[in-house]
Amino acid sequence: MKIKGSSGLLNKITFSGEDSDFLIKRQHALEIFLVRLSRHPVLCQSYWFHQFLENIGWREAVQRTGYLQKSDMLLKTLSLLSKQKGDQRFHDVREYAEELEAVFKSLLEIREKVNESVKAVYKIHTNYGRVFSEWSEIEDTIGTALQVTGGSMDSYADSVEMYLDEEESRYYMPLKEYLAYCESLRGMVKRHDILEKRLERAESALSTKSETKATVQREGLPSGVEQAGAPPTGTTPTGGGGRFSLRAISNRLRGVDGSYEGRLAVASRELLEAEETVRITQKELQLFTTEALEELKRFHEQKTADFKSILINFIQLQMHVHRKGKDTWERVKQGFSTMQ
Amino acid sequence: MSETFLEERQRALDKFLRRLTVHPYFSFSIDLKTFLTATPEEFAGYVQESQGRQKLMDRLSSSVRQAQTSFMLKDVDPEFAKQLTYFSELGDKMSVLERIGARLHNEREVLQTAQDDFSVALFHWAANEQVMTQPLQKLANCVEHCSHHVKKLNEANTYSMMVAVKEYQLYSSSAVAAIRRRDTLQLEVERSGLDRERKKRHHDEATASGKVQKVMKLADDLEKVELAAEKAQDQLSRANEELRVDVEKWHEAKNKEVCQFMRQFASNHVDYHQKCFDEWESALKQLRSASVSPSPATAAAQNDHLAALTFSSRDSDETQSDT
Repeated sequence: MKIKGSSGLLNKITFSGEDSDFLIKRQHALEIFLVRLSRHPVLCQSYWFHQFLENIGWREAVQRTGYLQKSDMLLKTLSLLSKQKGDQRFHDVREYAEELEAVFKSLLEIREKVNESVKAVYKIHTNYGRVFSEWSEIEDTIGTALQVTGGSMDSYADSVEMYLDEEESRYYMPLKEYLAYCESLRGMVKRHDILEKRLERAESALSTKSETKATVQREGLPSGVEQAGAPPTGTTPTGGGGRFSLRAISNRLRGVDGSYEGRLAVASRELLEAEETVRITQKELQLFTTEALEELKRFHEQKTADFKSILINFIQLQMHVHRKGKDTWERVKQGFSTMQ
Repeated sequence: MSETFLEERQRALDKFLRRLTVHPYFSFSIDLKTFLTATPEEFAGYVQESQGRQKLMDRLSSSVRQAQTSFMLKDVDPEFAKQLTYFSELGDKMSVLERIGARLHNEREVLQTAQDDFSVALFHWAANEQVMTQPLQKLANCVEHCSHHVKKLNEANTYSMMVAVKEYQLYSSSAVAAIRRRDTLQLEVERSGLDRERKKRHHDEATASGKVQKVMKLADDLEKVELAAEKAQDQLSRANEELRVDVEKWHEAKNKEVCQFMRQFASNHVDYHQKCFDEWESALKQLRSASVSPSPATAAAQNDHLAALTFSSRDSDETQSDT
């Protein structure tokens, strides 16, 4: 399964070629992605992965395979045929991928709103900082405590910047990465669908061919009885019974064996070919399904570990923020407690 | 109106009345005694009666006149001028604090809504998963609780900080009014002083010019004016003394009360952060104990990378990653 997804990044900031901060983060995200690829039991052996790592001209090499045209053609094939049965397991995968994508998109959106609000709340404390500092100047006894408060408010307000940065890397980026993986899952299901359709087509072709052969056999039967004892008359223009047939002559001219034996031979051959196609397609589908389900299992395991890791990091950040906030306000409280 | 609002209102009124009863001047006030002891009907009658004399209601309306008098003083008393400046500035600070508080209140309400939405989204995520369902649900609950804590913080601030700030705003204006009333008395002294000098001049002139009738009349006038000036001076001295004591008491009470309400204000925030911290901590515990078998290599890779972004080593003692 080729993962064509990118480790999608933030779309908030407009990309500037000189934005070093963005570049560093991008580099970092790509690094993580490459490490993930190299740890994947199948992909680490992928020819294209190695090409990417070693060959500067990997992009052209990939384009030369004409994979784009192939995928287009595959997509066209898919849209022509209707869905009949299909492997429920793969339907489930598609549903899961779509649901996960929707969930993550909404999580990202909502979290942005939450952070906007959090930022606003923290920033307003700058005003508190100013007022308390000014107030401390006109006071005597409580002046110091007020000054401490003013300073604390300023640092409280400033602390939000660091928090927003950390959330970006601990929450946004991993979630966006998984949006790309949802795409990959869907791609995998599509490929499975294509193979299923191919099998369907092969099977229906098979039944057509076997019908054709049966028809030919039936056609030849009455005349066959007559000719049972007679020698093969494949050389005479008229098949059997001496009837004149334009088709027989044109077939002769074209080199097509219009005789019963000829047609039977063609039908038999085509039937055998159709059977072979079905066998091959079935095998392809089976192999793909097995590999895909194995990959899926690996994906879910990896995903669970990743989710756990993402959530742990996210929670740790929140805990840090609240601990810091608590410390700041304790300082304020202390300032007013030392005088009675 | 919620029960808490009424309770707080009661508490504030109680505090105010206590302050009056221990006040060196007001505790002797007949108005106050009547207010505290008479029935509603009796008190209504009392108020009507006192309309003639300059009492309760009049004092409030005269403050506008007084505002202008301070600027007309010849010899500005430095001590009281300084206090006037102080109390006006304090009043300003209180207004600003009130405005900031209101903004924060609104912004926190927005935050609440956003966090509730976040909680719902997390529940969706939990529903889509199989292995991670419980930890995700716990997380969703945790976020919901944190949203609730924000609400509680808003409430706590409204009933402590915001009330205190409002009180001190009013306190400052009445202090300013009191100082200005004193200034009015000083103005009176200056005016009557000028009066007396003028009359004396006339008297001396008349004496010099020998108009006996006029001299006698002017002597009479002079006496009256002398008395008025003395009375004004007396009033001023008394007022100065009282105000000096008041201002001292004000500062004492203010210092104590500011400490109190600032401690409460800070406490509200400390509690909020502590509660949220506890919520996240319990979510973390459940997440760690979740029966999930991570594939060690890859999970570690993630943690390694993200650990590099961790900002403080202080965190690591309580937040060790489990792989």
